[in-house]
Amino acid sequence: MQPIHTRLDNSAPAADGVLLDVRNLQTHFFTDEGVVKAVDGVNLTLKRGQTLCVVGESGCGKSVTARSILRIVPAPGEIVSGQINFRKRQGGSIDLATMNPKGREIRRIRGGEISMIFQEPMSSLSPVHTIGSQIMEAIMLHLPVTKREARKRAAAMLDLVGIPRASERLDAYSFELSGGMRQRAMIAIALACEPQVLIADEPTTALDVTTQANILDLIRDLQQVTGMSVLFITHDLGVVAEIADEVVVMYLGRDVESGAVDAIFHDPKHPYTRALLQSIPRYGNHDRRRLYSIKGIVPHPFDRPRGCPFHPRCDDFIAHKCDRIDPPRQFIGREHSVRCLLYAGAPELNSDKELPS
Amino acid sequence: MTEEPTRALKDASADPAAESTAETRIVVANQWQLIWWKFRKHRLAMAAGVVTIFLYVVAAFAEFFAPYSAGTYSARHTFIPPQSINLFQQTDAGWRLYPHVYGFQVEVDPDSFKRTYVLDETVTYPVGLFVRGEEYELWGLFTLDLHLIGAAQYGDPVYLLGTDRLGRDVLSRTIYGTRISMSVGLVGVGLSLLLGVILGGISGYYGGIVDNLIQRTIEILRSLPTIPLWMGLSAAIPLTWPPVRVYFAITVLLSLIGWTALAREVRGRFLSLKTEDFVIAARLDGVRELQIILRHMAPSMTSHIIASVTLAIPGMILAETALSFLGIGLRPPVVSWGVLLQEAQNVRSIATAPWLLFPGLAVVVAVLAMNFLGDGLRDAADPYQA
Amino acid sequence: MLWYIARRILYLIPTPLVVSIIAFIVIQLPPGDFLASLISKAEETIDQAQVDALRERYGLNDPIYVQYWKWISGIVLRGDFGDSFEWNRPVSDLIWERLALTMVISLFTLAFVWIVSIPIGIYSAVKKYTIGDYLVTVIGFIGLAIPNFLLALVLMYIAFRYFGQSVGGLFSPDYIEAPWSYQRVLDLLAHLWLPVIILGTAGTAALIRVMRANLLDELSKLYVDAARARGLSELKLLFKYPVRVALNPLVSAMAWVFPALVSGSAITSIVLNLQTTGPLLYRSLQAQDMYLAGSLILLVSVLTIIGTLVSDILLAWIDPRIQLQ
Repeated sequence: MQPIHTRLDNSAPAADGVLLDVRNLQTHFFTDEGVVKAVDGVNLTLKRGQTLCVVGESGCGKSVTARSILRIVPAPGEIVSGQINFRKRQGGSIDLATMNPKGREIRRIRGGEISMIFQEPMSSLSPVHTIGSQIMEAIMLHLPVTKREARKRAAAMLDLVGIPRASERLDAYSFELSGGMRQRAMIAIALACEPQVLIADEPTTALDVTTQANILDLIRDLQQVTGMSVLFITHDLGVVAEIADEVVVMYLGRDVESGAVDAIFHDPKHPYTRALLQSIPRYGNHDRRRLYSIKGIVPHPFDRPRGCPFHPRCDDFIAHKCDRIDPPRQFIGREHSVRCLLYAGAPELNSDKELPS
Repeated sequence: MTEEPTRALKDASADPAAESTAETRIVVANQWQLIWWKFRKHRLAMAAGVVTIFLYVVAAFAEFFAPYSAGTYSARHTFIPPQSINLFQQTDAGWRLYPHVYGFQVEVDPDSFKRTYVLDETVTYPVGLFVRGEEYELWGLFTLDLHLIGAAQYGDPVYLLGTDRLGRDVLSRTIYGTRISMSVGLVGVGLSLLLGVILGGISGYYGGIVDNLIQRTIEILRSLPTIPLWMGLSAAIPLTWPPVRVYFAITVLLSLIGWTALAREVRGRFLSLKTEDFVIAARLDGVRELQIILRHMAPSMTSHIIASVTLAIPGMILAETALSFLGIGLRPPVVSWGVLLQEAQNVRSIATAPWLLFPGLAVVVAVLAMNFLGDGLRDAADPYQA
Repeated sequence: MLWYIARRILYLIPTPLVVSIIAFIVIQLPPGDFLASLISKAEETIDQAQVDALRERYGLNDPIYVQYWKWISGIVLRGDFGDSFEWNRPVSDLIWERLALTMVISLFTLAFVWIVSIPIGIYSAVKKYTIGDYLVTVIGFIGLAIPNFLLALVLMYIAFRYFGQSVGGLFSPDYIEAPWSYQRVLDLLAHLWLPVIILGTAGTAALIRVMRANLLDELSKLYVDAARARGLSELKLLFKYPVRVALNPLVSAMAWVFPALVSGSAITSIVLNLQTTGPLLYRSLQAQDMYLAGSLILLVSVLTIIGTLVSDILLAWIDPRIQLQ
């Protein structure tokens, strides 16, 4: 694994270790029928070497958040406000949200400093290009190497991600590999230029359970070797428990609760987080009760409830309050924030705005 | 709940995972309602649908829409250029509403004996809607003499789109041509559909050797240059056959080669439906094969088949037009657009009477309308898909 | 790859067989046999003994399958297509140059169709729902709806009426009967553009739509996002990935575009008076010169079958997935 490191210097110091800081991100889709607020005020902070998990039901905007960071939100979608502050390898912080999504600057970030892997490894590889050509492409885009060196490095990368007979597989097409191997190949492409951040958008969802575990282990091992940070998007709380340092829980484009993994799992505050945790089946639960499920369904994006977006499904709904007041983000611990009116009265709480940055 | 259902459908596509109470109406709507809602959004296809219906209405009531019968001729009025309708006439008291066309005079060039028509603005012929004219029998049932448009006074020479070399009204003949041309498409596609559905269905349902055989046949037929083949086969139709028989022979010929596309469509649908859960469920429930095909599979294919049929008709119309244009398809006295275009077979006749190309415009309009309509139908055929 | 080609060829073998049977049927279809038409055309009356002798010579008293065998084996083994009665020459003397010209026109048209439709299709897909896209779509639909021969007539009329030229033909009058030479080729090329445009209109319109739909499909695929997330520039990305993939169905579309071109050229050639197989077939059908007609149908069909085969092989070559199936 060692020969891969040619320029790795992920130790450019930042006082607080914060690498990526997303503030009040809003990404809206302007369709013919109206505006879909897919991401409507999300904050997240990714620290060096850590893993941040974004959890939520399908359609809550987690993927759009991830894509917003790399500025690859599809067509009618646009970032309407917010900041995406990223600390570059050479030092200096930039706001990705203000960049031209087709410009040279953001392209240098993509793949070079922030990489992304996707949910379906089959469709994220080109069907008519070899695996090797796609890894080499990534390498030659960001590193000053010759074609031959790129090929060598590509083989080393495939080896690194645990694909057997790596140099042969360079000439394989994606349809000749199994699902797990494809995802490994995707990871090889993503990590080929040793990015500081890996964004993994449900990378294990489309895989079977044993392969899932393998891929998770692989990501974790690679994280330890390279010291990269991982932004992991998933709806699987089991995965979160396994790999996360920090967690952001999303609902309808909002970060309803965020904090350290222990705080979220052992002391969940938001009714939605609590409900999510309750709906996990537990082994050894002998009383055979019906599994808890959150009542109702995620509202249609055009039917966004007024007030707290979760109130129609909330067990702790306060009439005339939750359906009118949009709860602000509040800190209830050092790094534990929640958007819920249940905690609004607590005197020790500060609202988001008063928090020192 | 107050949202437009079609809107909700599109919204769901913008964010596929989001479900909503607004979709409740969609959940209870049946397949055809969904298709209609989706189709209605497609403006162009809606307009094309109206044009198509209009063409078929014209075809059904050609006698009423046409000012003259298809065979009416006037030896004195050959190659008359189209007359334009003037809505108003200036009188001493000012302008008055008086739709009319001007008369014309024939001038014969003394050297070349070429006849030219000169407008004669002193003579006017009133034009009207719902006028009395030649008698006709509608569908062999009623004897009528009402025409949608024509000379207000029976017998006045009014030729809105001019006349051909025998002095026959181009407008009337084009209208009568609608009947044949549009129905050739329909009948031909009907036959193709029969062949296509049966063979495609067998192929898709049973698979294996049968499928292989039918697929090879289709491949062979598709790799053939159709027009030379059609030319060869239709040239073999005896000249002595009565027009009706020729008509059917031609449509049979067209559909013999035209069925392949439909068969492919049907086979593809069958193959994908065969593995659908509801079909498997029906089979596990012990439903008989025929029942499965008729009750469970056929309904979910119908919309696709309708769309394919609509898209197949223009090809038939074009083929008939081409063959008749060459004189090896339908023959006079049958009037189809292709037969009419025979009159405009070379540059010289077009140079004399460019208006003889008018039936060609009718072909273009019909084909365009059916293409747009079919396109819209195809998009709408799968309402469950985004 | 070789195995794949071999299999394709194996699949195609029945096709010429079927075509030859169809062509033979066309030859046999007219009422009576060609001798009857020969006799009816003859200036002097032919007595019955002579007729019988002729019947015997042409094997017209044989059962139908024997006649078929004689005909097809003559073609395959000796290149003997029989005689044209109208021209009073062997069919093979008449057809080769016309066949070659048909191919030249069809191939030029194919190239024209591709060169025009691919960029426009890409533009239309990338700029989807813009005015340009709508314009392309509408023009494309109109192009599809106008029969070739009508377009030919209208263009000829325009050239005649407004430029005082009579267009048409593949050669200037001086070169029609001339032997092949460098000048004759140039003359041909100078005349080729009009039939190529006329023939190519419908195909271009169709392929623009195919290309647009394919590319739209591909543009929304994840591998495009993945490549973008790697830092590839938009233009490079577009051409390296989605356009490349979207071209595959276009190559397979050649399998039906080519027969359609050959087919369409038959009628257009008649209108434009081109020296291709179309007008010859037309004349032979009208004159019931059935050996000529049958041979033309057979050869044109075989040529399109070869075209189909070429497109299949091409597709397998550019799309690695095909060979696996």
